[in-house]
This record gives sequence, structure tokens and C-alpha cells, in this order.
Amino acid sequence: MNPLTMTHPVSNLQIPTRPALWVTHYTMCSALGTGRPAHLAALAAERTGLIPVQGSLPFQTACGIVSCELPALPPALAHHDARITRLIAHLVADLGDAIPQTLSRWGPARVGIFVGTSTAGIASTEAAWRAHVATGALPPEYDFAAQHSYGAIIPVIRALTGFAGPAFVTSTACSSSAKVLASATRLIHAGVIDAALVGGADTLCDLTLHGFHALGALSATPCRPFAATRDGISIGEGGGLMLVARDGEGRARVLAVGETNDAHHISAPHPEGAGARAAMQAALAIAGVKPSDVGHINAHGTGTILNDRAESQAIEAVFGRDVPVLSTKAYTGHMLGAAGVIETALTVMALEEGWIPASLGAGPVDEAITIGIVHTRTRLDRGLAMTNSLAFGGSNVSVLLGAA
Amino acid sequence: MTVSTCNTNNDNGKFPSPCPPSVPAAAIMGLGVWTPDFPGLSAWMSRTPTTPPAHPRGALVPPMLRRRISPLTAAMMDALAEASAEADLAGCAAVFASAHGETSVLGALLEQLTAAPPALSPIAFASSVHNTASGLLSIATHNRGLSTSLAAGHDTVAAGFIEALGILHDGATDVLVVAGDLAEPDRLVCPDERASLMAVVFHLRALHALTDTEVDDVSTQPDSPRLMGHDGPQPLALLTWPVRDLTISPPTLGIKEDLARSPCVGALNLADAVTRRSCGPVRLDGGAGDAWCTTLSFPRPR
Repeated sequence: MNPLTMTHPVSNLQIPTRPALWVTHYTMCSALGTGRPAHLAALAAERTGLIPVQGSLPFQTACGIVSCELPALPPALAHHDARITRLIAHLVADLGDAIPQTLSRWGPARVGIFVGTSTAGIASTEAAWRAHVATGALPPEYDFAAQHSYGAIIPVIRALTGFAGPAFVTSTACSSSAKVLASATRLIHAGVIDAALVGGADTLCDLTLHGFHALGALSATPCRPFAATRDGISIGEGGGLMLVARDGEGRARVLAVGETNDAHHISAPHPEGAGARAAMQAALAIAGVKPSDVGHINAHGTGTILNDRAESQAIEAVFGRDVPVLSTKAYTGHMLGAAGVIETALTVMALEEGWIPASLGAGPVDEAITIGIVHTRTRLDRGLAMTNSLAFGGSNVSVLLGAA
Repeated sequence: MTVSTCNTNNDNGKFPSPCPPSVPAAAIMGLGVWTPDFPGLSAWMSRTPTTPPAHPRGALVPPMLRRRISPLTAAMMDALAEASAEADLAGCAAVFASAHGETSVLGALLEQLTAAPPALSPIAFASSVHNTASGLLSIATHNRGLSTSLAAGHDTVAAGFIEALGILHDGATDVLVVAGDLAEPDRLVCPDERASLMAVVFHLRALHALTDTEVDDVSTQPDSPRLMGHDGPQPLALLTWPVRDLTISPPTLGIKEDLARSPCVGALNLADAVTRRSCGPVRLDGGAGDAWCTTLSFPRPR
């Protein structure tokens, strides 16, 4: 076999191994605050951003709410004004000079835009629907195509950044903003672009909370991934953006992205995590590294009985019981389509800082879960780490990252 | 002039140069069309509307799952069934491209949310995500490989092809591009933005998967690309990576306004050019997008 090829574990195709991409800049916004410093401080202090939700819900739950002010969009983009586009604009602003630097280095047409969302402009649409039910008319400022549609994020990012390469929104539920890393990687490798802005966002709304409650998946209290007493998820809102490029002064490297389907059930994971296992194996194979090279896994770890059990079986099948694993969902809540990029950013942060945060709320761990959940801040002693995103529809993504 | 294809220049572990936009990047091996007026390729080619308008069946989905699928997913599955004669559905990658996704399910959920008391259907909620059709296809065909689901407004079809060609470049041999939309519910979408149901599916195959393939540069020989030494099923057409070209106008398809308004109408532009064996650039939007175009060429019979 050509030493520069690998055998894909699902398709059995011979695929050339690929050079890594560089993560040159990143930022995120969640219930923990905006930017790297706010998230680092919260994780170091083992401080959750989840709070009980007050209001009109007919059930109890806790949520991760973005509490900072999200300024209105510039007048030229006012027709796109929605909480999700404001969140994206807030993140673009936080990237600061990295945007013009990227533009200058690669040129507008050579920078792609790939963002993920599960619920798009649902917060605006829910409010508009309620207004229509009450008054018989939509609010005059509501525009379904410009505010709700998945693609509505793109013209906002184009206008705020000047990036003019290929652009799309990936929507594969809770794996959306991890999957965009695969798209950027493919198109940079194909020579279509040199760099990309990747990320995603999702915002809170009643529909999401009622929906997960109807599924019996919502916890009444802050979620406790992997714990024996866990009883469901906590929803969060947030977003993250990351600049990746074929080379540069990087903070970390994207070594590989494994993507699979469960082919099992539209909303329940495969009971043994077969699809998740294959995604992790694919990422390792594409990068040409051994499981023992990986020093840390940021698990999807939602806090539901089924997800955590299936994912832990998949992790154990690939990595054994010793690799340190955490879920950051008890800090931020499950940010749905935004979870992938924010957890990728938190994993980059772990590689940069050399330590793994405690898996908040995990103790005592479910006896059926026999992987190495970290209960206290733990030294990261290897240069590779992985993060998993597992979604409705059976969509699984594993992102393998390397230290700079 | 015979040139190497984009798909063969990246096996040395280094980043390649940009793909020449005039070089075919993939072959179209199958095509399926479903709209209420044209529920199949033959109806589409003859532009003979079915009377009364048809309802999609979703025949690819197992009966137990089929009862609950949306019209959009059903139409996508029917077009998939027509396009995939040469595809191994259990191993083929798939890219679902839809500007609006499952908005009919969203409308039903919003009705339930604003009822008193609110009571959401858990099945409808789980089926409201954009990647519902992608997940159902993987379940129906036991395919654990790669699929994805994306949107880009009026450039949704172009985005689907860009993602699909990236997947082929990454080593896959076959990928299905499934484009479709249904702009509703009426309570949210203005009358002049409503678009009727449609789905178009293209089965793409990497040129490196066609035996001993050599392909001409369509910029120098626009009407005579050759597939040399290829003994397998003949492609319907070859296409290039999409590039922007504002000088290209969308074709006149002779379809109703509510179908022409669909954000995915560019897929019908391409289906029209493929079935008419029309060489040259095809615009992948209906005029409201960024003018992404792919260039079609047709293999010369051996």
C-alpha cells in the first residue's frame, strides 16, 4: 500500500492522508461569556453557566443563556436582524484584526464560509408566529427568508468580513458546526480555497425546550453527563467561529474529521455507539495515528441515559478505558448546532493550556460507564485530542486536533 | 488536448493548485426529477403536466417510517429512486441541499406550541431537523457512510455540488446530490415567496472511478470530451467545479411561477441541460443567487 494512503473504515476506500489545517484564530460565546478568556476562567473555576429558567414554561429546566448584549446589525443588514445573526456578528467583531489579516493574506475569493446551525432563525420565527396567532398578521419587520432561513447567516458574514469564497450552512442537527470543519478541510485540500471561516450558532426558544421535553430528554436540573443520577440534557445557546488555513501561525492543527451515520434511528443513538465508534476510527485512520496517541476526548456527553452509555461504549471500543474524557455540557448546556465548534474550541484550548477541565457534575459516575471520566483538572500529557458530536438523524462527527 | 483531472493531482501529501474550472470534475451517472406536475424524468422531459398533480410516495423509505415523512422528504426519496439505478445506495455518499428544509414540519410544531395547552409531537420534533431526509436515507439503505445536509439560499444547489465534488476529491467514488425545497408554511411565507414542492437528484461519480479515464479540456474542445477506455455504464454528462459567471443567464424552463421561484430551481436548470445534451455553462440558480455555474460536456460514443 502507498504509505500516503489509508483505508477508510466504513467505505474501505484507499484515501490519501492529508496535511493538517491550522486553526489560526477562534472565539466563542455561550452562557460562560464571550471569548477564550471567559471560557478558560469558567472551566478553571469549575463554574457552570446553567441557571434555572424562569417564565412561562409548564415544566422545570435549566438553560445556558447568553447574557451579554448582542448589538443590532448595521443598518444595511437590518432586514437580517435576528438573535442568531446578532450572535454571529458579535463573534465576527470579537475576532477583530484576524478578519482583515486573513483577507489580506489569502484574498477574498480564496476564503470560504462554512457555518452550522440546527434551528436557524427560530427565535424570530416563533415570536412572529405568536404575533400572527394573536393579531392575524406577522410583525412588519419579520422576513422569513432573510431572518429564519438557514442561509440567512451567509450574507451577514459576507458583509461583515469581505470573505467571498464558497459559502454554505450545514444543518445536521447537533453535529452541524463540527461537520463544517470537514467541508473546509475538503475544499482546502481540493485547492478550491486556502482558508475558511467555520463555526455555527443556535439560539434558545420555547419550541426547542418543549420539543426536548416531549421527547422526555430534558432534565429538570442542570445536566450531569455520565453521572449515575443523570436524567437528561440542559439546553444552551451559543456560537463559535474559527479561522482555519492551509498554513500560518497556528494555535492548533485540525488533523482529521471522521463522519459517519448510525443508520439506526432518527432520534435515538445506536445502542452500542457503532456509528460514533466508526467516526472516531475514521478520524484516526485519516490522520494515520494510533488511539494511544490521543490524550483527551471532549465527548458529546449530553447527559441522557442512552447517549452517554452508547458513546462511552464507543470510546472504550476504540481507546480503551484510560483516555481522559470529559463533557463540557454541564458548563454550557447543549448548544445543539453550535456545540461542535464550541467544543472544538474548548479542545484546542485544552491543548494550548496543557490541562483538561473537570467533567462537571459527573460524579458518581454510572457504573455501566467504565471509561476514564476526569473529576478534577487533569494534566494533558499528549499532543492530540478528539471531540465528538453526535446528532439526530444518526449523524456522527469526530474531530481530531493536534497541538501547534 | 488531454489533461489530467483535478482528482488525480493530490496524492503526494501536498496541497494542490486550484482546480482548473474548465476541466470536468465528475460524471453524472443518474438523474431523477420529482414535482407535483412532473413526477418523473419522462414527464419533465416532455413538460407534460400530470393531471391531477401527483403526491410523492417516498417509496425508498420502509413502510413503518414512510407514514410520517414530510412531502419534501417523500419527493426527495422518489427522485432518489429514479436517479440511483447505477448507485450502490448502501455505500454511496449523499449531500442533501435545501434552502428551507423541513418547514412544513416546523409549521405543524408551531401550531402545537401555540395551542392551549401546548403539546408537541415528539416524533414531529425529531423529524423537524434539516437532516431528516439524510438520516432516513441512511436508515432505509443501511448506509453508515458519509452524508450531509446544507443550505445557502438561492445558491443552495451550487453549494450542494461544491460539497459533493469535495467529497469525491477526498476519495469517494460516488455521491448523490439531492436538491429540493418546499417554501411554506403559508402563515410565515409571503405569497410572492411561496415555492412549490420539488426535488431533483444527481448521481455523481468521480472520474478516477471510471476505468482508464482521460478527459479533454472543455475550454479548448467544448463539444468533444472523450472518455477513453471506459467500459462501464456511460455517464449522462460530465460537469466541472462550479465557478461564478455573471455573464450566464438562467434558462427559460417553461414552468409555473411557483416552481420557478424555488431556491433549488437551479437543479432543474441542470436537469434540463443534461436531458437536452446542451454543452456549456449552466447557471445553478434562478437568477437571484450569486451566478454559480457548472460547465456541462458530453462523452462521445466510442
